[in-house]
Amino acid sequence: MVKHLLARSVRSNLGLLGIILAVLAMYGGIIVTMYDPELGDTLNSMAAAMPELFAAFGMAGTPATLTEFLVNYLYGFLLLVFPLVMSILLANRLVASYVDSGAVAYLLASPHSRAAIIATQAVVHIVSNWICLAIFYGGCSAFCEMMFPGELDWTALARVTLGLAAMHFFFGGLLFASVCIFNDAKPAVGVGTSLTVLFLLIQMAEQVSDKFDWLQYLTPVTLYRTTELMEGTGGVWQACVLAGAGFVMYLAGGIIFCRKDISA
Amino acid sequence: MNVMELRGVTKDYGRGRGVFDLSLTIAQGDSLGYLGPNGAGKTTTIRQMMGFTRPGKGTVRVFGKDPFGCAEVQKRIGYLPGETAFPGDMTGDAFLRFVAGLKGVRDMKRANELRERFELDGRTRLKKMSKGTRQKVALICAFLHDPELYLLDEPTSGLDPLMQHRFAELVAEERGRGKTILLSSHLFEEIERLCGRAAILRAGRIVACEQMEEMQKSRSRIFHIVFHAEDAAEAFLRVFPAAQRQEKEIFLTVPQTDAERVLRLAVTYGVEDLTVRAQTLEELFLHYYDGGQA
Repeated sequence: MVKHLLARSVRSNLGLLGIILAVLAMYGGIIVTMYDPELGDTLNSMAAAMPELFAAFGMAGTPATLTEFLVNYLYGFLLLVFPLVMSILLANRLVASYVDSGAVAYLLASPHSRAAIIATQAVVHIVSNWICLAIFYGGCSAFCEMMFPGELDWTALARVTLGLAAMHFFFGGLLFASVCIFNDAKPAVGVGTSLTVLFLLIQMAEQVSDKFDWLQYLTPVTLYRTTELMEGTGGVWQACVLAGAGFVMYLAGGIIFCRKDISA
Repeated sequence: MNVMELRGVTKDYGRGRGVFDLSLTIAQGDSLGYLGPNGAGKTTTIRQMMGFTRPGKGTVRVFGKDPFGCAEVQKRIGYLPGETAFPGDMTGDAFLRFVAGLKGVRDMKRANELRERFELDGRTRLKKMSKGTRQKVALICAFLHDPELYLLDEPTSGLDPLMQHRFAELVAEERGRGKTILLSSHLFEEIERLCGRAAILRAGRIVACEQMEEMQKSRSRIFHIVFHAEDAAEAFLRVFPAAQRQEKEIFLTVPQTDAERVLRLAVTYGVEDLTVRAQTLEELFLHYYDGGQA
C-alpha cells in the first residue's frame, strides 16, 4: 500500500461516494415511506397492475413485511445499479485514466513496486463499495426503525446486504480486471462496463417471464439469491462463489498490471 | 562504474517502429545527449530504461539491476516524461507535494528552490496551466528528490529561452555534482550545450555515439569558392566531382583532412573569393539522418 496514493485516491473520490449515497438515500427514503403496514399499499397495487415491468426490476410478488418490501423494491435492482455505477466510475478514475493519459508515469517512477500501487487502488475500489453498502444498510435500518418501530428484521436484511456485497465484489473484480488489462481507456472501461450491464439486462429479461428461465444460466446475477438470503434458507454458497470469483479477478488484474508494458 | 547498460535491446512495434539492437553504456558522471528526429525511438528507449516496458530482446541494466517494476531503481532516478500528463484535478503545488510524498521526500526545501528557480506559480490548477508551465512542474518533479541519475525526455519542450537557460544552468550544476544525465532532444545546439557525449538515433538504431569533442572534430568543412572564370570552376569540378557548380561558383563539402588539398587546388585555378566554415552539428545530424534513407 502506498500511503500518499491512498490518501489522494480517497480524497478525490469522496465526492462520488457522497453523490451515490445521496441518490440511494433518496430512493431508500421514498421506498420506505411508501410502505404501509395497514392499508393495501400503493406500490403493491401498481405491481399488480404491471407485473412484467415490476418483475424485470426484480420486484415480484406482494411483499407482506417491511423486510420483504425493502428486499423486493430496493435490493433487487436499485442497490445493484447505483453502487455499480460508482464501481465503474471508480475503476476508470483509479486505474484507466492514469494509464490512458500517461500520468501513471509519476506513480511508476516513484519508489514503490507496481504491486503496491495497484493493491492500493484495488483496496480503494473494494472498500468504497463496502462503505457505501454499510452506510446504506445502517441508515436505511435506522430510518425504518424510526418510521416503523420493530417492523424490520435487521439480521435478515444484513444477510441480504452481505449477499449484495458479494455480488458487487464480483462486478468490481470484473471491472478492475478490465481496467488492468487494457492500456487504452476505451476498451479498459468499455469491456468491463458492457459485461456488467449485459449481465444485469439478462437478469431483467429472465425475470419477466418463465419462458426466459434459461437465461439465468447466462448471468452471474442468478447467484445473488435475495429471497433465500432473507429467509435464511440458502444463497450462502452462491454468494461465496461470487466473492471467490471476484477475488480471482481482482488478483488476476493486479498480476497483469504488474507484468504488462505500460507506455508512459 | 556503469550506471546504465543496454545490450542488444530490441522493442519492435511493427511497421519499422520501435528500437532495434540498441547497445549503450552510460558511466557514472556521464552526460549523454540522445538525439534523433521525432519517431526515432527516443521515448521508447527511455521507457525501457525506466522499466515501464520490457525489451523483446536484449537486456537493460540500471544500477546493475533489471529496472522493470523495480522500486529500488526508481528511487535513484529522476524521470521527466516526454508527455506532460498529470493525474486528477490538482494545483501545481498540491501535485508537487503529492509527488514528494510518493518519493518519500519530507523536506520541501529543494522543491521550493526549484520552484523559485523556474519562477513557477503553483497555485494554478494543472489543467489551466500553459504547456511551458506544466513542463516546469514536470521538471521540478524529476529533480526534487535529488536522484543520482536523470532520464529527461525532451526536457526543454515548451520552455521559453530564459527558462531554457535556467534549465541549462541546473543541468551544469548537477553535472558538477557528479550526477549522471541522459537527456533526449531533437535539437542539436541543446545537446551541444548541455552534454559531454551524444548518441544519434535514426529509425530505432544508434548510428553514432561519440564524445562531443570527437563529433565536433568530425564535422566537415564547407567551401564556397568563386573562381575568376567559369572554365576554372569546370576544371576544379573534374578533380572534385562531388562539388556543385553554379557558373563560376563552387560549393563543396569535404572532410577536415581534405581541406588543405581543396585550398591548394583552388589557388592554382585563381580564386576571386572564398569562404569556408565548419559544418554545424545540425548539418551533421541531417547527414546521419539522410544517410540511411538514401
